Amino acid sequence: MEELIRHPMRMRANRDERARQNFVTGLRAFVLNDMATGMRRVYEGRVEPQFESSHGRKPADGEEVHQAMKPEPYFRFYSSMRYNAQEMVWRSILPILERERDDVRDRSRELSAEAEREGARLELDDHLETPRNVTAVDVHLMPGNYHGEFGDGDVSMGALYDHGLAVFSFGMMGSNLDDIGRSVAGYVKGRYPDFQPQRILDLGCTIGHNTVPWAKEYPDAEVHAIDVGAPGLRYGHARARANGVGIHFHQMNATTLDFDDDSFDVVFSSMFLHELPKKDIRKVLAEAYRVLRPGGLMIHMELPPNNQMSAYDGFYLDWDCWYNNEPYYKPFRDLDTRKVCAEAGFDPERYVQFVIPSREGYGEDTFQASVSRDQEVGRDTTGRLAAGVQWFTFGAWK
Amino acid sequence: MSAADKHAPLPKAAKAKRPQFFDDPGTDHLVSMFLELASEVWVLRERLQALEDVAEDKGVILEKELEAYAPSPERAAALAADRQAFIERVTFVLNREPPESAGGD
Repeated sequence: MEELIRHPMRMRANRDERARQNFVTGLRAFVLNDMATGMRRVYEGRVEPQFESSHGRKPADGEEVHQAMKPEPYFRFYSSMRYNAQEMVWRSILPILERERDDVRDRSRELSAEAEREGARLELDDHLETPRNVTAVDVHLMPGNYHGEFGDGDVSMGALYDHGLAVFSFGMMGSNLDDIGRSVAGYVKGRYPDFQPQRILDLGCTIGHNTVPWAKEYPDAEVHAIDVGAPGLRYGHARARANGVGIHFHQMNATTLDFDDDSFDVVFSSMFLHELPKKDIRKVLAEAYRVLRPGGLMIHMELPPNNQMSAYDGFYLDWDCWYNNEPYYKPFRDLDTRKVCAEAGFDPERYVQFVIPSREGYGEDTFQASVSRDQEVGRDTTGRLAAGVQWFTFGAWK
Repeated sequence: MSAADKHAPLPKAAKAKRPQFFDDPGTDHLVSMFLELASEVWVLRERLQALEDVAEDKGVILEKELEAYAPSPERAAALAADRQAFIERVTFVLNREPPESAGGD
């Protein structure tokens, strides 16, 4: 039986449970590849021409496309199947987690203790207030959300996220769920070979799945990762050890970092900023500027901004905001990334933006060849899970 | 000692208001049930394939054996219990806990 998770924190599923996960993975791939293609055809073939003939122009933005698509049976089936598939992701893990949770917690404790002995710290802060944007809704429809604690030293939500993400992403996030980190760290290393970061920080790391590749790419660097959710940090600390690296995990809010000025060479995040209200995004970028050393790099992997894509592509990506409990998704994508970096103190001349091909998806040769070439947002695989995914990144040098 | 650590049951559904995509909410529920049913059919097919492969490796011709098969009372009772769990999964959406507070929209 092929394992869902390839590191020692995996939970043991029986044959039927594993088959159920296979089905959900296949259903998601079908909806997000095949049905997404069909829905675009419906739009281009009928909905857009009808809109044009009644309005005398094409839809101006994603919301207008959304309104025009709402009555379409194809959109309704796409949406309801995608929504159900999202719920089924978590339901394909929960019965296993209920059965295995004590064992996962014990293994997590053991690995964590080993990591501590080897010098990788886990620093939890019981007094840290969980921000309202985290407590208000269960993001991605994950029952319990990232911060949910259901017992002493609980790691349930970390295990649920790790295994759920593997079912959810149908391989598009890499076989160890680390493709974003591997791609971005590898791209930075390839493009800036003289840049040798000594201290690296990952913001909003959840279970540190994209922090691990930074520690592997830069083995001499000291790598730190922060998040507000304790269960993910406990699990992530153990998971990093299980993946053969030592990373310092801290329970901390990225809007108020407990690190010194000028103390990091890289500040990274992946799929994090779009979970925050705009005012917090500004605070996070200002904090990134503060803790970076002069000559350091801030780099965020994110969804591509709306002002760099078509109305239809905007509609397609904003689906999550409307139907996947991602209230800050669209507001983030409406931001001008260069402008918010400048407002946080970064020199606009030192703004950077890269579209990075998935390292595992395209293979090492294509990936390395892309390092010296700039690509624009525009391909409809940028920032979305589909065959040929490319990761959008932006940031700035201090 | 660790087994004695206290824990609470995990939540079964997300804190979220379920969107309605179709004019009749019943249609939304039917999609949910259809997908659960399709999932269970797939689970069976994977299991059946494994069964056939294992049996063939051991030199058993399943078709003939299956026609002659009758379940024991214990097996029949276990199947009945499994069947109820199966129906509960397929009709999950109807028995889903009401959202505690309306997130989303």
